[in-house]
Amino acid sequence: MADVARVAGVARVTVSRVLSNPQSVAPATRAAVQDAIAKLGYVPNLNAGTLASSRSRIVGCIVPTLSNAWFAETIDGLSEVLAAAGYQLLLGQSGYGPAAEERLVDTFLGRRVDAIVLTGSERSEAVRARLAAAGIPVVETWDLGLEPLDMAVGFSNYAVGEAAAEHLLARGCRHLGYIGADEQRADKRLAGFTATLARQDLEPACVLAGRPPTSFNSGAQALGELLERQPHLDGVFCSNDTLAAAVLFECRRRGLQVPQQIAVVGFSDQPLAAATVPSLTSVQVRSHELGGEAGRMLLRRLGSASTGKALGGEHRIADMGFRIVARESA
Amino acid sequence: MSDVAAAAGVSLVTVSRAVNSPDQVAPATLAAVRAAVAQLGYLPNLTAGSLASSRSRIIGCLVPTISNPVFAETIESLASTMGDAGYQLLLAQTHYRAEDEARLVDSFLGRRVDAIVLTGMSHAAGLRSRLQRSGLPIVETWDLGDQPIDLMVGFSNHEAGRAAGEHLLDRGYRHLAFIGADSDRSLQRLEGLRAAARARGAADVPAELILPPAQIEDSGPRLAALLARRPEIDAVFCNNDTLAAGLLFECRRRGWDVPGRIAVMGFGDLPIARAGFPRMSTVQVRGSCIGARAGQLLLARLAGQQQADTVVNIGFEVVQREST
Repeated sequence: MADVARVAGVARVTVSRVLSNPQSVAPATRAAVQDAIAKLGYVPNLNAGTLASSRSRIVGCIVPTLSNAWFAETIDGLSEVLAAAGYQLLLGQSGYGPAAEERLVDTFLGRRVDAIVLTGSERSEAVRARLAAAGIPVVETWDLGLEPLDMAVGFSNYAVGEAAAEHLLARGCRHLGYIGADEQRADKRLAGFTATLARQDLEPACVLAGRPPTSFNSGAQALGELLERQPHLDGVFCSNDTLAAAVLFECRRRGLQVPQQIAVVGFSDQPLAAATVPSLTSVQVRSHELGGEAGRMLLRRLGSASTGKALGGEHRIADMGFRIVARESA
Repeated sequence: MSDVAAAAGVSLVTVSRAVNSPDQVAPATLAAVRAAVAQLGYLPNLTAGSLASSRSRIIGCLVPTISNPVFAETIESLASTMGDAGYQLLLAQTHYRAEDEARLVDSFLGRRVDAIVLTGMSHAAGLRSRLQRSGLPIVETWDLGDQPIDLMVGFSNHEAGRAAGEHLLDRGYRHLAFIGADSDRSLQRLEGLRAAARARGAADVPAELILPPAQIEDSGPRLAALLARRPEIDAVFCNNDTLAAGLLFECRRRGWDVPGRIAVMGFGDLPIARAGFPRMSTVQVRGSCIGARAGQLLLARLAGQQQADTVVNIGFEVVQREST
């Protein structure tokens, strides 16, 4: 900045004023400073502004992994909304591990992010306490727990499982199976699925396809195991579309007709679901809009913080819902 | 910090030293400070530290879109390589627009990132010199050229397209076509494909170009458009595996045998290439390798080491499966 002041022949405070409040500087002086900035390629230090204003304009976002397409879509939606408001995204991947999440939260708080976006509703007491103490806006995504830390945007994973079971039961399926990732939110979908079947005195055969991210390979293997346990299998609910597509491919390899012999329901309605043959019935959860809504909730809060207005309770939780998109596979 | 000092019964400068260089503090004092830190839930302000040391330990990373799984792989491996060394990633998307890239680079520079990772090597006018003047380590990824801004990790998209063309021609196909995004790297692959066809005296190659991001559902209509122009097409090279998977599904829907009626070749070797039916021939590019190599180059540069090789070619490999 001193260089800019020297080249423009003005005081440093004038340069500072041109950057932060250009209207307060005479047009000729302003032009001289702007010329000097262009000539020297000077870039104002946004971090220095941070310390003074105690706003970093950075939002920390933690997802389990980017290799799961639906989290990538959520970040896409979130970053679009935040970027338009001049915020940037500091990204962390927890690998589905609470310890890694705890470390990332500490790092983000240390970097004085303005807000944090987390995935899921279950977390350690230590993280809850630390975030509560930090007093910054926090949005939990992809689930709706009983008691969000601060704000939450998502849907009920349990209700998703119930709806999938009802869809398969309505088709007349009675010998049901479940293939899922070994992970909290998938477990909630399984709980809803199992409870709904139990009301008809039915019990699903379950195969866990390992820790996420699950692969096409693990889906194909899981179908083999499921058929051994339940030879009359006539309907399968998968905890994501990758597993469900793998089941479709494996059925084709084994000469099993979908949906005539086995009906298949996926989850998350990725573009892949509409493209497969037969096309895949899935539960649509609008991952992109979920990220966008999380961003808007944060911006409302960050905006109202400066005007001193509190956010009403009704804006703290956004249930984005879900719907079953019935295609050919079930 | 003054609360911590009061609770630990030490001076402010001791707390600062305990946080920044614990080796310089007596063990008993260090333990007292750490106990106070834990008790008060104090978190050191890393932003303030970054002003003093002029290191932010933040890397700015720009990709066209993270919804494209190949870029997600690159970011994931870059983030874990840098994360192990205590760096975090500031992530932004250019949506394939050079002017967005330039604007985002400026804001990264303003935030005093320690280094920047870009996708591709064609940039808005002026960006190159602005980045060189910044003196920061810069890595361009997913492409290969002899004039990097600073560092480069990728492969030749032109050569990859040519290799795909040669594979198809070697398998006996004579009427090649292309479906891909109307974007820089995709067009380079198309040029490579066309060069291969010309060199072998095969028919010229019609192309269907899609405004990016190209989606799986684009393939069906684009195949119909190609066939309307050239009914004799016997092989299609797609700019990525997602489009190729969409094409395989479309062929199934039409009841066409692949590769008997038409051959399909992808690009990238995503998991779907191995999982689908028939299994897809493709050009394997390891996006995770690009991210990891970019991270290693940056860490070496940030540690003050000079690299002999500023351009790293990770190469590619044609993988033949059932669809060609």
